Amino acid sequence: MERTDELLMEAYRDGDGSAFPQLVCRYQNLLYGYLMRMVNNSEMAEDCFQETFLRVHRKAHTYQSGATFRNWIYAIATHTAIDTLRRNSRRPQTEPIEGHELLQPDAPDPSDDAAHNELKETVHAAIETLPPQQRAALVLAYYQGHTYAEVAEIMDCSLGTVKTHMSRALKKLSTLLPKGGVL
Amino acid sequence: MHFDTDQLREYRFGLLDEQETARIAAHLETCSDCRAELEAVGRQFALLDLLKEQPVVSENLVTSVLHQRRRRFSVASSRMASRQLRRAPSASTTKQDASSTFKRPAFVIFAAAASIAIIFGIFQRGNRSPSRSNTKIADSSVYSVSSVVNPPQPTLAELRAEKPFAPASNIELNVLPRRDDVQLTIYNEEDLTLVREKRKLTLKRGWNWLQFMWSNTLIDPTSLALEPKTHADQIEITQLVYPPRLNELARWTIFSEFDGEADFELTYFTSGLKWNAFYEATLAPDEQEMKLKAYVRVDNGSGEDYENAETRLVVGQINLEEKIAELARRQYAYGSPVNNEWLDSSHVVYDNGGDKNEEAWSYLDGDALFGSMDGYLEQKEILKQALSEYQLYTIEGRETIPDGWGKRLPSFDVQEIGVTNLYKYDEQRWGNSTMRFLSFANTEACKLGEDPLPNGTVRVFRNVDEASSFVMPQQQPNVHNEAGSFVYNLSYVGATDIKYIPVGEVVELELGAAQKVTVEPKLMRTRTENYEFYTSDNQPDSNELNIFAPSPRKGDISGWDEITDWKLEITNTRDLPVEIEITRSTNSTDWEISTDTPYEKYDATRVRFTVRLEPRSKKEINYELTVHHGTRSDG
Repeated sequence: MERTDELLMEAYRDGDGSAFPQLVCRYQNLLYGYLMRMVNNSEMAEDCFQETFLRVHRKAHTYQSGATFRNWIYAIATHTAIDTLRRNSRRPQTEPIEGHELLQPDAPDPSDDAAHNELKETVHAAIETLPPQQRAALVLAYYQGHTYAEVAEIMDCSLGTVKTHMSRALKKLSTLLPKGGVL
Repeated sequence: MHFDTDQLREYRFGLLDEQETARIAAHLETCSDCRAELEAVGRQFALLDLLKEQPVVSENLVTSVLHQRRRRFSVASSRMASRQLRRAPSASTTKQDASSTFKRPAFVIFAAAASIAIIFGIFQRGNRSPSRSNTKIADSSVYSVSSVVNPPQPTLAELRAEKPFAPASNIELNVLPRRDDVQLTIYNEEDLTLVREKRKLTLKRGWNWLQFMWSNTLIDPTSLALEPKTHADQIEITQLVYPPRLNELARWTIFSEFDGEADFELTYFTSGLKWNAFYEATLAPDEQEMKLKAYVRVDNGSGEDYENAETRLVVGQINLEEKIAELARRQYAYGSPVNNEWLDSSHVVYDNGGDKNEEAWSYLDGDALFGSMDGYLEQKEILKQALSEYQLYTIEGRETIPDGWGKRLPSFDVQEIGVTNLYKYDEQRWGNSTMRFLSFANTEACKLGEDPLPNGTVRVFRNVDEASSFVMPQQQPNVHNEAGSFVYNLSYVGATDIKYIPVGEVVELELGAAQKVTVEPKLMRTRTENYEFYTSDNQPDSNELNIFAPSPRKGDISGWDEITDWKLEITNTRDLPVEIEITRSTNSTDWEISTDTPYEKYDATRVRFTVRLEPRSKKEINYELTVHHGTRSDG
């Protein structure tokens, strides 16, 4: 019987070192994806990723039995990412998104890929203009699949605040994203 | 009436309250313009889905995260640390759901779960997958195929004929078996530790592979050895491969004739584990006796945590290659050393005499060093065993020594060891300083003599009565604390390093220059007497033949005596009587001394006085030194 995240975290908090790698294993891609979308820079995302798990380790003793581990670790990751974004706000760093694989010979049309990547860049750039709180609300709710109530718990704010962040984020994006959508 | 784009957007993303949502929904049913606007919003925000692709974290990053945790372990809160120590993780086999989206990283995770990670897997073989539901490992959700009818099992010969797959390409199952038992034999002189681990592995009938990783550790990979301890006749370990282009990784290929668990013993050498002995000597107020406490400090810089390890420390100068190899070959059993058959009956066990608090090893001192360690206060014993040329100390029970940690363990505590205090003065060796020495013998008479003493640092303290240091201790009332021992203020006397002290040898501790006991030599008078002369020309002195010197002539001086009068002023400002050994050099081999003070001719050129001074007293030694020169000299 596989242990739940919560049981693993409780075990780790209580001294079972073997639980930690399992938690890392379960959340590595989710968190890395989240952090990549938040900071849009692989180097910074990696730093945040390491920092997040370091904080998990350091704050293990504060983990309350019964708390949803997923929300708990996302809260840590969100704080880490927002801290990083604020630190780096004066020197924005962007880089092309991952996924620029070499074009295969049987690829339909190289120009389609180029256009596709260009659109992705546009979306990245648009999200990057959002203030950290709005960005976190959008990424958590839209990409990470959290409900607004969960986002509120993660961001330690009210549901109304989350909706306000989200509403403002969407409004800003609506001015930046092409109206036509995906061609 | 139409809703504006902002309202429709919020409706689209569920940001409105129920009432507003219902109102818009109702409106949309009848308003094609608003529906069109809503679709436009949907199309625009569908662009966000372009980033839904999940980035995959790199294996290196995960590995570094796991190692980062290990590196930071030592700075974790004491609460965590104490918990970590108090609750030894239960030995269990970790199973992973390889069907999850983390399939590939899971391999890496477990490879990096510990600095030493063992990954155990089964060569994939399509027609065998369903049969896995029969085995224990098939409990994992990877093999949730219980409804599949098992095909007939292949014979062992068929299985053996099958070529093993390259494991990295098809990892179906990752198991990180915890160590069931680990034994460390730390040989300090050469920074080498023999590690013997016992692990349970679940084998599958047929070919299995076992992967061992030692990233960020100091393990000598060439020393890896694996041996089945159970089912040995059904398990064949065929080879150990160090795959190319893969660092810090080795794989064993194992053929098993059965499905199920087997005990394996893994042996290897590592460096980075060190131990040091150090001693605390506390002199009684009269300095005639001392209490000697010995500790062993084990430091783990090996990059690997060793939990609940049986720790053995090798003492003595030995031929490393031969002896460690011998250790490696020994079939020592695991478990409590007390129950081990290999413990020679001749080994020394500290006899507690029914009172553990008196003789046994208290953990309390280690506690002071490492903070709260509730539950670790049980008494510890160190068993000492003489093995040919060296001494093996086995710390009772188990120790958890995480990477980056040091741990101090009490070794012995002997009361009332008779000591000799001696001050020494020798200008040739120490200049004008009077040096203080403390000596005792590693013999039964001194309440030691059971084992050699490992080299280490000795710190010497003296109990000083807290009321007044000017009153003789015997005049002081005894002050006891609650535990019944004397309460004195401690004063630090000095520290020195000692070398390995075999049984029967005398230990002399040099405690540095003394301030309260001084010797001041004064040259009072110098003169020459008893001249002798050559009675004829060209009468070379055979003893002072010098081809460059002119030949002496009749009337030249051939010999004389140089006489110096010395006064040695010795001062003792201490409250205790002291004995002082004063060595004076004559710078000649032909001399005579005239004095009222007893002396010893230490060697051809030195004379030695040993005097005793009462507390706060002075003494003078006067002597007349006559050195013969030339024909006056016997030589």
